Amino acid sequence: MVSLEVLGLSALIIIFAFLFGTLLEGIERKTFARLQNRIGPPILQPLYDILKLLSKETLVPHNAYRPLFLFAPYISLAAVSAAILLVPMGGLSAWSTTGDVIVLIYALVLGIVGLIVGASSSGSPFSAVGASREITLLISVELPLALSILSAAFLANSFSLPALYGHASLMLALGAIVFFLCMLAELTKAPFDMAEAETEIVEGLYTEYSGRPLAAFKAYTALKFFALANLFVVLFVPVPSGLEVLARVGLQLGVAVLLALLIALVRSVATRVKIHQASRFYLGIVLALAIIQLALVLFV
Amino acid sequence: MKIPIGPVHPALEEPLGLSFTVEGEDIVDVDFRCGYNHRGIEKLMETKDFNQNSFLIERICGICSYTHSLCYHNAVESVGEGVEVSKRAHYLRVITAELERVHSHLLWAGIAGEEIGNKSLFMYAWKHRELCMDSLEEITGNRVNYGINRVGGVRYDLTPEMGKRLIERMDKTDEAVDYMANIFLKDPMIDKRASNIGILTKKEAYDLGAVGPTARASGVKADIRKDDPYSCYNEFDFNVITWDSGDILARAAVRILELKESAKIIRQAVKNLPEGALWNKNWKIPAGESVSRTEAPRGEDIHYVRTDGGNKPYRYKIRAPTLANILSVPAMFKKEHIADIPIIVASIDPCIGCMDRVTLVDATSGKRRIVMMKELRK
Repeated sequence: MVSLEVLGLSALIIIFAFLFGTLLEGIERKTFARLQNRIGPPILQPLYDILKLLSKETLVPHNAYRPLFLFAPYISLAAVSAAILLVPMGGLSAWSTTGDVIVLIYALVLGIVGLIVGASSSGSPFSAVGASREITLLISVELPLALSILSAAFLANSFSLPALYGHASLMLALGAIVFFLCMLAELTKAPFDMAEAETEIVEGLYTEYSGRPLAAFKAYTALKFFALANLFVVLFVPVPSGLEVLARVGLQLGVAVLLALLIALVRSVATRVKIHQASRFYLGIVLALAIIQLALVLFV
Repeated sequence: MKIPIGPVHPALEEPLGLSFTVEGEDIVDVDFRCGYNHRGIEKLMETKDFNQNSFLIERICGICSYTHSLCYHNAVESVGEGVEVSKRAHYLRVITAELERVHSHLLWAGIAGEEIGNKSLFMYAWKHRELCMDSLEEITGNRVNYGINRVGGVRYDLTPEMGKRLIERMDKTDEAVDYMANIFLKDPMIDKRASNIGILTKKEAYDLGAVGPTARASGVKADIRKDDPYSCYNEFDFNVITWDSGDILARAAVRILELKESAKIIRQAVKNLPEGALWNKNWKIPAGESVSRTEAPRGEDIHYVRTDGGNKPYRYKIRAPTLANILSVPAMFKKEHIADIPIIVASIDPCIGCMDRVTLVDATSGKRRIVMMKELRK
């Protein structure tokens, strides 16, 4: 039985993750704009967007499968919230079990599945193309991503995330690169934003979404940004021992902001690639890197 | 599965209806509809006199407005014995026309970047396009419809100081163009999205009657400025850029390199600007007919005018370059992917406002019909 304090704390963590996730998106958008000589939106713009969407009308297309269309955003939201609670903050996690690395990988996939289910049930051809691209991307990205996470797990000899915390060394450099590349696709950032390419398929997955379900998806993206950035720290950033909990949390958030800046930099020089090019990239070079990393960890 | 692109779609700036049949990501078939932007300008021109039409004709297009103006004035001024226009006026017209080409091609480079998901390129191109817009505004007083032409000459002069500033701005634009040429031709990610995609062979370009950069990118050396010089273009030294590969990259390369040629023409025109009156007051358009051709940023623009000796055109006909180029678009789509749709459509630099002169009106029922591609091909 979970105590009331843990539940309350978990709710607080999710709210904090949501706020910080929108902030990360905001920082990323602002940096992107500054790199292009634009002023850019306010850093809190993603948060404003979500708050405004909450008060907007929800429209459901006639040929959509209504229950699934409206329910799917909350599958994604729930899945990513679970992922957030599993990733330790400052080395601490209230929900840790012996195998939470595996649970985490599944939780991340489930979030994307929610997105695909929602898009497919909207009845729009643009969303259908977006969903098919997202599935292709999921299949291509998930293997190298899982391998890079497992490399860290094998290095620390544990499948429990708090145990992995701070164990990273230079040994995992390749894994970190693989994880970052996969992060771009997971967050559908350019050059891997083909699932929501607006000039091609009109935001693809989100074409028919409006109002609260769209807000839920936006919150999902923000939470996912936070979860992946934190996961990066847990898996690949060596934390000096003897730090206070608050200092460790600060370090974690600082690295997350750095990742947001890095993503903005990549996005500003990138051209959107085609889905089969992306698939070939992930199942080629990136997968090879991930396998080399795993071999390094297992046999060296 | 059928995917509708347009008449309202973020990849299209203007209404054009494309309907794609796709299997997965592959394009199987395409059909398009035009006529959404028909405004009846040709008919309206018959009700206005030659001076009023000087300003109406620019409203055809928001980007290549000046080429229509130039074509109109060349057509009207060459009816019968013709209206004498001073060399200075011709030079000023050439400067404006080439500035328009520069801003139009820079605008295109930005849009091309946007269509393949490179937003930074879009911002960069449009930032430097502003320099050119500043020059146009300084010379003509306007940014879109310049209103510098009138029958018999031009309305505004270019002072030496303005010429100096114009050249300074062109120098800056040239630097940006060099940088962009580097990006377009060397960036590996753009190469992935642009080379060997949307290919139009030389034969297809001939057969489908492609014009302008679209034809030149397929190796067809066609440029009205050289082939049928108008407005003193024969006095300038410039090259016609052609490219052989006929893909998106070729169309980008042709446009980017043309920017340098336009800059060359502008420099020569400012340097050798002859003295003379701006406007020939004594003109009268006799009865007769005339055809004029100009090289718009998008290709060959043809205007036909028939007059009856009055102060209005009896009949006016416009064939904008996009109508000639749009037929090549379906040929470019064969065996490409959904992801290539926006950039292929953009690669001919379509200007629907120019193109939509055709709306068939059924004489018996009076009903407007939307023109399908099959009928256009006839």
